[in-house]
Amino acid sequence: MTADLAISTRGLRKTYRKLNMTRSVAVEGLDLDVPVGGVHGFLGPNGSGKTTTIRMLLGLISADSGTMRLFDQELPKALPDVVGRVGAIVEQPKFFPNFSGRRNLTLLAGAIGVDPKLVDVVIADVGLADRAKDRYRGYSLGMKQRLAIAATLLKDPDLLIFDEPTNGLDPAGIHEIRGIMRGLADRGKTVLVSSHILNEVELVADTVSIIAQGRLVASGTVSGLLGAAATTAVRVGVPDPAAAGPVLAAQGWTARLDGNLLVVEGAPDPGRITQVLAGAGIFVHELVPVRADLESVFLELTAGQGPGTRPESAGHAPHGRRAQQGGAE
Amino acid sequence: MRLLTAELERFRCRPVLGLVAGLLLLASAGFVAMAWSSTTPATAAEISAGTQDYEAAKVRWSELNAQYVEQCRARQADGQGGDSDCEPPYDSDDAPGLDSFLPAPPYFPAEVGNATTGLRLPVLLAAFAMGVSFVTAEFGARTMGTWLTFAPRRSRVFATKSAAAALGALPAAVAALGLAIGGIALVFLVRGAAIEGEGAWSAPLGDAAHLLPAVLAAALLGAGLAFAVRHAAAVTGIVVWWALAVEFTLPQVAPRLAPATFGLNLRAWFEGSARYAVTECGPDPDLAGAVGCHDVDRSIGASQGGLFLLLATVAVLALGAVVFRRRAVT
Repeated sequence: MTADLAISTRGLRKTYRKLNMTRSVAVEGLDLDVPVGGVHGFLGPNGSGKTTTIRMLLGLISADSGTMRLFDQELPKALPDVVGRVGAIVEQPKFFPNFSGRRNLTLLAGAIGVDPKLVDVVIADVGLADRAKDRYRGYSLGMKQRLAIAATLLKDPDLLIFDEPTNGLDPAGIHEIRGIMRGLADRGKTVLVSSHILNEVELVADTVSIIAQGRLVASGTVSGLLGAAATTAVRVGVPDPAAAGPVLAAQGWTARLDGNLLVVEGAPDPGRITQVLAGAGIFVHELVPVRADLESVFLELTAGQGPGTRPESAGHAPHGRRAQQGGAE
Repeated sequence: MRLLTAELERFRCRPVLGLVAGLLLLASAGFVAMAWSSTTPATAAEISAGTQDYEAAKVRWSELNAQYVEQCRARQADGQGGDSDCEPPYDSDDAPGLDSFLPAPPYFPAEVGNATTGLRLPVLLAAFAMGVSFVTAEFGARTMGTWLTFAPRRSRVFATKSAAAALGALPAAVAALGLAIGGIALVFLVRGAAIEGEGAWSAPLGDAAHLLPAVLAAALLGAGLAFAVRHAAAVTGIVVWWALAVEFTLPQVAPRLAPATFGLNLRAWFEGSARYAVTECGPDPDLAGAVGCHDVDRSIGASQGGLFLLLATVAVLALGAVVFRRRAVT
């Protein structure tokens, strides 16, 4: 473990006792590294252990075994010393419903000895100045999220942990939260964002870790993971796909119908496809390389591993492809 | 200290706690209103009616005396014995007095004593409710997790939140007592009634001196219990169970265990001592081989009552602290 890691866990394990007195495993031997700086996506299906991991990092629940470090300080022992550098929103933001947004933040500021004037600054930072004196219970979900982000900013933290920050938000709200996260990272903060909404993370994250059934199945830079999953497939639009199929097959390429388009694999480059089809009198009107996205990587890695925890007795689930690559190692 | 200040501010901001304090002040105002009523000078109609009742009672008293003397003499004449002197049985000391038939003059120690005694239970229940509400609101609104990300030392959060509950409940209790005692004194001044009598001031101040520590204990008990079970409904369930099983039933089925009840110990704490009866059985001295049982009065003192409250508070706080430290916070 090094000082360039904001978060580092090794062999982290957490089980929960169920009503029938058996235990289910929520996190199983998790090795997670989050580098300092940038946005780190923490991905996994529902019930894969993301929130449990975050709760353990914040001292809200205790780990059964394993080690955790925040900024190279061992948790939970050093949590009181290092918590000032961490701002976190776990699941839905929770504040007193009858207090105004401003009053809620003022109370939190009092707890950490922050100048109350900073409350207005952070509220303005997240665009809530006009509604700061309204009761929290009247806030929309997006406003609640923004208030929660403002609360985390009170500490001017080096690490921000957002657990499913866009749950329930409309597209404008999602865009706004994404912008705030990116802005924080650009200011040198480290942002850990857990989510199961993959395109949201793909758009904002620099590095990602993917977990399934409490285990890390892949981690690295977004580009690294996408590169590893890249294919040479191309979607081809022609007037008569049935006629084009045998022509492409004659070249040794595979072609399958996907809607009105043909998905062609094995061609050395897209230009060669147009050349071959034109030679047969079939003219291409659409040619799109099939691009790997985080969703396809995620689905491949977590196939059959979610949602939910599993009984302790079930043993270790088979891993998806373990793709430790890039900057997060 | 910073955390305690923040917790006190959170306490102050909670509307429901203001409502509880308001209800308490309303109860105090009720005692002031009663004092106002009891110091109202008697009307001419009341005096007239009282005087008429007095005259009627005096006539009846004279008639009873005369009737007795007459019957006594008749029995003597018949040779049936009886008192030799046939004196009237009711002397002048037993004669009806006019004061008894007119509205009683206001008596400050009695009015204040009624108020401080009557306020005990509402004040203690309010303090307990405040302690419970202050803590369970955090768990109910699920803001405890947010709070712990700002103040992660749970033992400090526990200590400051419990202390804030106790310190926050104190002003409401002081205000309620102050309103009752000060209001009654003011009523007496306005009415021109005398603020005098045995223990006119020392008795209410003594009551207050016993009530305020009990308020602290009640608020801490509420906070400790709330930390242990987290939900106001669960606390209510425990309180109802305790009231039925321990406070009410236990002394009936096992009188010797009466000192384990809050009721007896609180009474001892406030009144200096409290009595309870146990049944003791043993060989009957009058009947060889027989066993006789008789009730024996026992009592506990104020110090024992105070010690019980202290130990109960410490035990519940310790339970709450252990549970809060060990259990996950959502």
